[in-house]
Amino acid sequence: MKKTVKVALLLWVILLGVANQTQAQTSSKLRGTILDERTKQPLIGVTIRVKGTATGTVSDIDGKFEVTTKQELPVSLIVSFLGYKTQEIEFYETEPVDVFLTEDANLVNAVVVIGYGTQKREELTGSISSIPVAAIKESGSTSFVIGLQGLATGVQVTQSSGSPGGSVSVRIRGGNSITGGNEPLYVIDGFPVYNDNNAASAGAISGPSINALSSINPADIESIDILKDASATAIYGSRGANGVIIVTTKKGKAGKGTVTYDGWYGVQSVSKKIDLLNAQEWGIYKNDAYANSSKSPYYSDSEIAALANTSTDWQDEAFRSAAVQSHQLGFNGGNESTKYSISLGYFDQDGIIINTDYKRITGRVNLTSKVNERLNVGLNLNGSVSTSNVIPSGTILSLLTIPPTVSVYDADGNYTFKSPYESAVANPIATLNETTNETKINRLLANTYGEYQIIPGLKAKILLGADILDNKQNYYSPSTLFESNAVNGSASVGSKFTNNWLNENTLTYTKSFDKIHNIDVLAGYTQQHSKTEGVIANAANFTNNIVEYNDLGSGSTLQKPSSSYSNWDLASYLGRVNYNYLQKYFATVSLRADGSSRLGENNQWGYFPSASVAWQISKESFLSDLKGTISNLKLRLSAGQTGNQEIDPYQSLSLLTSYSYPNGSNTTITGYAPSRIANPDLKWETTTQYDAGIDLGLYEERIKLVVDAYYKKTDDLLLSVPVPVTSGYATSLQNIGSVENKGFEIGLNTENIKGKFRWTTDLTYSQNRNKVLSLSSGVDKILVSSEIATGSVIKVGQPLGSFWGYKTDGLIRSADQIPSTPLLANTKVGDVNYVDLNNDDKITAANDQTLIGNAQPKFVAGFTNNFSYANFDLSVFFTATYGNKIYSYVIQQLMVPTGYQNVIGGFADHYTAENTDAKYQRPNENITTNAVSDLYVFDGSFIRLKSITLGYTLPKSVAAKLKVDNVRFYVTGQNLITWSDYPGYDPEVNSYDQVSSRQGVDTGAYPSAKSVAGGLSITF
Amino acid sequence: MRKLIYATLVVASGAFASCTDLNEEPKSNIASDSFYQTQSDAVSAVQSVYSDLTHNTSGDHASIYNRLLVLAVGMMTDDNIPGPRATNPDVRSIAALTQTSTNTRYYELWRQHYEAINRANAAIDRLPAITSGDAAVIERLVLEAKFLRGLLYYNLVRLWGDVPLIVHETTSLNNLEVARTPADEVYAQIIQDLTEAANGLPAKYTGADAFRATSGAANAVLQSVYITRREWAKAITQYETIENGGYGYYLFPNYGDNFSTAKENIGEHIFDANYIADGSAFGGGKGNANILSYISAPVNGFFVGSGVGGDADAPIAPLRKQFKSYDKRAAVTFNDSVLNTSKVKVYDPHFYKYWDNAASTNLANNGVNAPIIRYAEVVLYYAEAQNELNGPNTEAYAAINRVRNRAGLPDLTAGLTKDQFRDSLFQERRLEFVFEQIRWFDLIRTNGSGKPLLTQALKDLVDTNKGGVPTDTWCIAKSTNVSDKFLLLPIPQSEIDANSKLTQNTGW
Repeated sequence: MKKTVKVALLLWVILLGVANQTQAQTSSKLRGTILDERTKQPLIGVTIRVKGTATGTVSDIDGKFEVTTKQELPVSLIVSFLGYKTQEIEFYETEPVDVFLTEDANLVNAVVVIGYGTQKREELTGSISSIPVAAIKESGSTSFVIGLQGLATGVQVTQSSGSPGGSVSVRIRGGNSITGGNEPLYVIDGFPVYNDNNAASAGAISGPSINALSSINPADIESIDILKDASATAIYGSRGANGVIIVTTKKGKAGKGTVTYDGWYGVQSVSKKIDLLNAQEWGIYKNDAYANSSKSPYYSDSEIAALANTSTDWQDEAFRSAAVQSHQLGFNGGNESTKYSISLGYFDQDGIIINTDYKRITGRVNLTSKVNERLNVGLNLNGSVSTSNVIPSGTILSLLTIPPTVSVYDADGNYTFKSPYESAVANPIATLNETTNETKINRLLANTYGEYQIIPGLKAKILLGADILDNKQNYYSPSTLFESNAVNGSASVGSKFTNNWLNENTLTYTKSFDKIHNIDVLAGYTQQHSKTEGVIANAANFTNNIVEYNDLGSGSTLQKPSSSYSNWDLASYLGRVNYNYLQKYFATVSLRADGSSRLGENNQWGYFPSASVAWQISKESFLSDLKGTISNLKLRLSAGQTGNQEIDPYQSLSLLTSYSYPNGSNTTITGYAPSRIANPDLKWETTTQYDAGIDLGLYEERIKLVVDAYYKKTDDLLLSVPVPVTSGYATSLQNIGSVENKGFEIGLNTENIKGKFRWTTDLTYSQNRNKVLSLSSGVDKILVSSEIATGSVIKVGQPLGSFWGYKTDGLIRSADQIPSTPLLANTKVGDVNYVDLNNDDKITAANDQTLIGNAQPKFVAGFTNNFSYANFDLSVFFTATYGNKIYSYVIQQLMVPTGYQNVIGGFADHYTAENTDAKYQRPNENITTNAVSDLYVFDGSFIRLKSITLGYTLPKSVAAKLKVDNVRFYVTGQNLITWSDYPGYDPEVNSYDQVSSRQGVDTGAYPSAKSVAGGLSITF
Repeated sequence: MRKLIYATLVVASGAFASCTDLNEEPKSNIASDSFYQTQSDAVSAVQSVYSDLTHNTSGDHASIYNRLLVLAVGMMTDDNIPGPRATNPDVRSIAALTQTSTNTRYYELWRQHYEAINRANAAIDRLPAITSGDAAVIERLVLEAKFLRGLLYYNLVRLWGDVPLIVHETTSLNNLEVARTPADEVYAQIIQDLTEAANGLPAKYTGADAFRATSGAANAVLQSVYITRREWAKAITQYETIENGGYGYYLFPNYGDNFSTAKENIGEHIFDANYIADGSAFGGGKGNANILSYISAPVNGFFVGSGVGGDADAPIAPLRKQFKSYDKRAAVTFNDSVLNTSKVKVYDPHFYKYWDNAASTNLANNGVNAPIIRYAEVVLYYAEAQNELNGPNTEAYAAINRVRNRAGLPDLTAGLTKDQFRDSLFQERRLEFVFEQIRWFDLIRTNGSGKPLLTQALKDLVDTNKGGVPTDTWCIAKSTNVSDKFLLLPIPQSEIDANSKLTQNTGW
């Protein structure tokens, strides 16, 4: 024992001696401040390391650092920070320096969030885009989803309409599915969410749906990573086929607490109006319609003359310049063991159409704590309350079709009830002002986890999460409105509650063997459960319009209430191994097994493997001579399978549905009969994807290029296929058919000018070719039937979103052009000339309809230029879509030539005996509906100045005098200019939202707005 | 190492503690396996078959007896045309006899019949296993399902000829392709189903059950089957069975009582499509209310304050002229003056048969039942059978005169030949049953003359001697385009695409 003590003492003395010796060497204090090159803000928590040693520190709240080194000057410091380019600074003397870090737009060396973990970008083997979130924050978007537009390759983002809070559809590398969902899976702070807008709609109101993800405040987002290839998405198995968008909200950082205020205020106005006839033009048109129907003129010449002074511009009556504002307070801070990030946000957008709006209050808490050396716990709470007054469906169409001769108010100052002409169009201004059409969404996304380090490198993590989505909708249409006059007022209320629970249990093991073989292993079991309950009640026939929807019982006509229930479960095992050799050769394999309650009992479990490799060529010695030119070169290859199970629950079961029939006592008896043939073999759709990519960096990363090419084939489509109806059923959901998507993506980031004046350019280019390869046997095409005919067709050999209808060739200008059997009886000279494709002198649906366009763009692109000089910065962002077609139901309606309603302005040039060269057909009461034809198919290509933002950051010296850390002002213009040939409101339109088979249709979408806003950001 | 084991255990316990259950429990729907257990389940199972007569729950289309028969075949007759608001090209092509096998109305008619048959099959297969409840009631319900199956197959075999005969519920996706069965075999099944129903069903129901199929209904449809098959003696026997079966059927003294909410399921009514006034069928023809009134009423109403109509199902020009001025049926069948756009009354006959004054301001509330078979038809079938078997004897005259006299018409001219009597009888049937979905079946069946009426009847539309209007475009189209191919409808093309065992009818 004594001996041991002696040895220990001896060692101690030796150690002290060594220590003294080192102290005797010269030491230098190196000091400086780390600043963001663009915003000139101090950067907190930047790692500063003395090159070649383990000595280092992090910058403090003011961005200041101090490192003491015993090395002799000159000393190189390596300055690195997440999201910024790493810099090497040489100190020749100990004078403090300012270090400006440049944001790394491509985040080459940054950490990327991947499924169930993170990875350094340079180690990635898959195709993943990371989004510069700063651009989204200042874009003024309601939802981060809209902000993704043009910022990532392979991602097509389409706003369904300009409606405040309105829905968005996202396609990552094209649509795979016909019946199942095509939206990507969102993983929000680890919680997988399929963005089903129906979950946020109880179904009691009408109008555009609200984007369920609008509940996430864009300002709370720290990073967005988009997983595109199978290598990245296969870990999400049966939900990975449409790509995965991983959203991570802000986390606290150690250091002095900060308070941040971000606010902006803007004014929006309608981007464009649709050109319509004015009252006088319409009066002449009406008279010609009467003349062509052998009626005497509706208006006398003097009345026509008088119409010049009384035209109502219904669009002007409905549009307004509308305010939009956002305010956000953030609190960040913590110490080495506990970190917090808390925020409160308020967003308030008035729609550019009267009585429409979207308001949202958000609150968020993120807390992480190191309980002890081995145990970390964390909590994420993301709550929001939103309210939106939604435009009632059909109002845009009323607004456009109601004739300009109708006034908003009658002589007594009351609303004009309806159009007095043959088509009874309701007064849209009265509808807008008097209808209650309100939806309220409360959403809480919460999760908590504990992570325990079992042995170095081996961690176990258990996560519990909940996504609670409540929706309440209120509708009241008073008896004073035309729509509800006959029923004496109509009211509905609806509620929907969706509870979604998640449990994830994962083990990760990271180990480096002599820094040569590096492995990273993940294994886990997860389970998710979702339950939705809904209820709707309606009543009509109210004695007054006072209680509205608040006392349904007072209506004397009570309509059938409805309630609904559905649930689903998903259980999964997952595993992944990342391996690299010398950080040069990388490989990843993953496998997920998913068991889904939605699928048939014989096929509930699916297995989704992937494999990928990457080669960091630039680390090879044979390229070391070119290091000055090629700073980064990596090849990636991946293959794998993912699935899609986005169908409603219970589709594999034979369920009974109620069918009633009257009895002999004037009430009904409810009957029950099976509504579907059971399909116990129903399974997921399988997408097999191959991806090859190159990451190239030139001239010290001043030019960065990422190119990916991919091929995806989806088999076993969840397709509702026709079965012989002698079975008693018309269709059955089966796994039949296949779809392919292939394309390539280019992302290019360049730093054109470096220095005090800096100019960078980011370009994204994505092209995808989609094709339906097969449907059920013997079926060549499926026409999507609906009361609103849009010509949407699913046809073998053609892309999804194709349109099917008649071709036209101007007007019939002589009697011999009229076929023996025209499409419409009583066709005369001056009517539309439908092309007789098979030359049988008959225009028939069977022989003369053909493909007339499709909604798939040939490419989409984004183009951003960032300039900064001193404390000013300027960003100019364009997006473009090229080659897609729009089927405009709204223009179709505005070309109905009956003279019962208003039409597009071009119709002033209509065919008459005097005007035989006219562009448009003769007004004609014979044609009350228009056949689907290429007359209503328009080029949807556009280039848009999506945003232009000018910012100014107060110099630090000024900020310091104001006793604040940072102040930034900016002005931004959104959607200021759009170049497009589309005659409707906006070529970016998708009225059927998430319905894959009816893409690219405009049924009268809420017009989009342009806006100008000013913002302020202060950090204390 | 021990910690490793602990941690693994923690993770594993988390994983299995709430082991996810992948079995689905659809609480808002009933699964087939948990149904068909009780008497009330049996009632519901059969109710769903009745429901298919007047409800179409999938898609935009009308239902079998709530307008679909009008659109699919009524429009082809010498009675109906599309009104000004019936702009649908499918319907217009049917009325002009230019339709093809892709016509959606044929698909719907075919589909809805087989949907109802499958529901009947489900009831017939499953109900006998129910042990809870009154066995007699369950047995009766099975027979009601058999009656309905017989009625539905009777429509199918008349319209399409050989049709797939399926008598068991579809329970799996296997063997869904079934070939056409010869019409005689289909008839054998129809006769078997109707005979069982005639023998086992009650003669009458009371109260809430009054809508149900009776033994009298089964006998009446059976009589119709025998007439269609020209088994005249059997048709006469059926008449006697109906007369002596204690059913108590009689002709309403007032023709209009057949279409009155006050006299439903009694008297002349044998089997009806039942409707109630709950405003559920507006524009659709797929709900609890009778759409036929709304759909044939004029756009501006018949009189000020009356509901405005769909103006879509209209009489063809020569039809109104077939009625004698003193025929009491005319005023029930038509309203001759309607309001024009200036709210001025003008002469423009519209169907008025199902008009319900209680629903005059909101035609969607029309609750008038629509007869599927009524006693007047039984009587006229008897007259026809007597004439074909024994010539125009006193029984035949007496029967037809019962119907004529009730309409205010004098006795039929005495001393007619057999052929003349047949012509008079078919004319009487035409006038008696306008807009009751009977005319088409009369036109296509091979009658006692050995031929069907169809071609001659449609050619008569342009024959001024027969009241034809040679200038009317619909009359021209029908008389020009008619041919024997229309005696059988085309099998819907989509059905041929989906079922490789099906063949198309001649000429389509």
